[in-house]
Amino acid sequence: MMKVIHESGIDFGRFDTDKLYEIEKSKINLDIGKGIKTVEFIYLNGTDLLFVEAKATCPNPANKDSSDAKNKKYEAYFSDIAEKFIDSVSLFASIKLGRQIRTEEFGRELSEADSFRNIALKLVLVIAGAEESCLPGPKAELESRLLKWRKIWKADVVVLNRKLAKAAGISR
Amino acid sequence: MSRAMIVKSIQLQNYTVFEDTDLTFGQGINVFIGENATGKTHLLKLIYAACCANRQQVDFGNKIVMTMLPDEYRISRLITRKRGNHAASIRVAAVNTNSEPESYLSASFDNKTKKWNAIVKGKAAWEKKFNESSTIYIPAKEILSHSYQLSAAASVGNVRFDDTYLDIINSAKIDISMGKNPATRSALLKRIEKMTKGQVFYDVSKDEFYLMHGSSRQEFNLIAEGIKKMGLLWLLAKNGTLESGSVLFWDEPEANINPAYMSMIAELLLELQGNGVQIFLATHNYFLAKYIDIKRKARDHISFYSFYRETGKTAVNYEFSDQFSLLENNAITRTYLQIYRDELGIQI
Repeated sequence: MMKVIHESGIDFGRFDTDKLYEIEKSKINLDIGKGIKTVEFIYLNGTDLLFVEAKATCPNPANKDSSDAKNKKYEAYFSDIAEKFIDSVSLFASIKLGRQIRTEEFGRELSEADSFRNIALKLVLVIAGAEESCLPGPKAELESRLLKWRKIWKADVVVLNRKLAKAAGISR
Repeated sequence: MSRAMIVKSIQLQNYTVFEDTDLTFGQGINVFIGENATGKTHLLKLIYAACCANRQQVDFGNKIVMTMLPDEYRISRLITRKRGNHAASIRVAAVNTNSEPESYLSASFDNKTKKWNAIVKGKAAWEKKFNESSTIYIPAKEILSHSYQLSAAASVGNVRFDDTYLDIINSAKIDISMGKNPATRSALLKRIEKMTKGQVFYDVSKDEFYLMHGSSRQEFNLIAEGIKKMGLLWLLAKNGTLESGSVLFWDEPEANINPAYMSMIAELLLELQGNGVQIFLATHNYFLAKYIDIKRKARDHISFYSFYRETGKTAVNYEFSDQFSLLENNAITRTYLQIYRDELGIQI
């Protein structure tokens, strides 16, 4: 069965539900979710396991004036996204290690895979409204915050906008 | 006898900024990054000196001094400047192939050592094992366009250049095609010619280098700095100096080169590495380091070393990773991130 996921103004998919886990809306997340942050969905895209978070916008370079409020907002934006990636990878690993019971929404291929050794882990942030030239900054910020996790999980950070997400084949 | 030389490791005690350092190297590309004055060039020159000592006429202690040029040619001036430090030691390990036991070359000296007369051990065996391997050091500053009579002037003391400059000029002037891999060399030359748009020619009678486009030739002095640098690489590839088993040192390949060419330089380095050349390079350039990471294939051997000082400390430490993006002490990515934050007016 194929599915389209609507997030932050982007139509992600069409995804084969056997390879998909809508972690944010999942029963597991609703059961234990208090205090846990998750990405929108996890998808097995060929040899890439994508943890996808979508945002409509990113910090705006148009206003260069520094302020405490602005610093706090910036910190909140990126720490929130980083936490979503960290918690989502942890939750995924806990499901694969059999620590969770309510796994009926876990895509069949995700459930049946007994090894992800040859699968690349990608932490994907899609910023719908960002210009391409604005993407390296958020990528650098997330790579810095997720360094420890990238080392542990051998994961890569990918930051896309609407156009690049479509070119990558994960949105319409 | 095998021509190959693979530098495996170096141990340093009290050598310039390295108080107690033990580094193991990969057989492919070894990338040194770090802020200024963290010893990257010192390390490149030291390993280069060790590689050059594979020749009978080269004394290891003398080569260290002639690449570093301390005052009065005194090797003792390279001892780490710290109260109580009176002696330094260096040990380099290398092999012909990875399946063989290591050979060692060491040097030790103290503040009573005269000139470059370090105590050197292992030289005879080092020469015997590695005397067919060629070594090249490409300095950060382009030198071929200033090569006219430079070697002669330096030999009588009219000008002072360290040996990395003089050696590269001599290597570029070699007009013999050595080596056993003409097809590999031809592919490499064609790749470099995409950047130089011509071939380099050394006019022996004038002692000058030229870039040839078809039948016309252009003096090196009139050519862009970056093209001159690539022209040098073309010469070294053509005359067989950069063949399988050789060791290449390149200090800041990015100097004077259009950032748009970093991708091509990364591909060039990966091709050389794939052809069996061990490479050591120092860089401050995000694009070059990143492109090496991006363009690599699973079969490529890439090692990143980040040299840094902890706050308040004088000793240089290092961090190793096989991926540029996983280095924690990464002055290049830290600056890249700071640009983004500065652009937004963010202070963290």
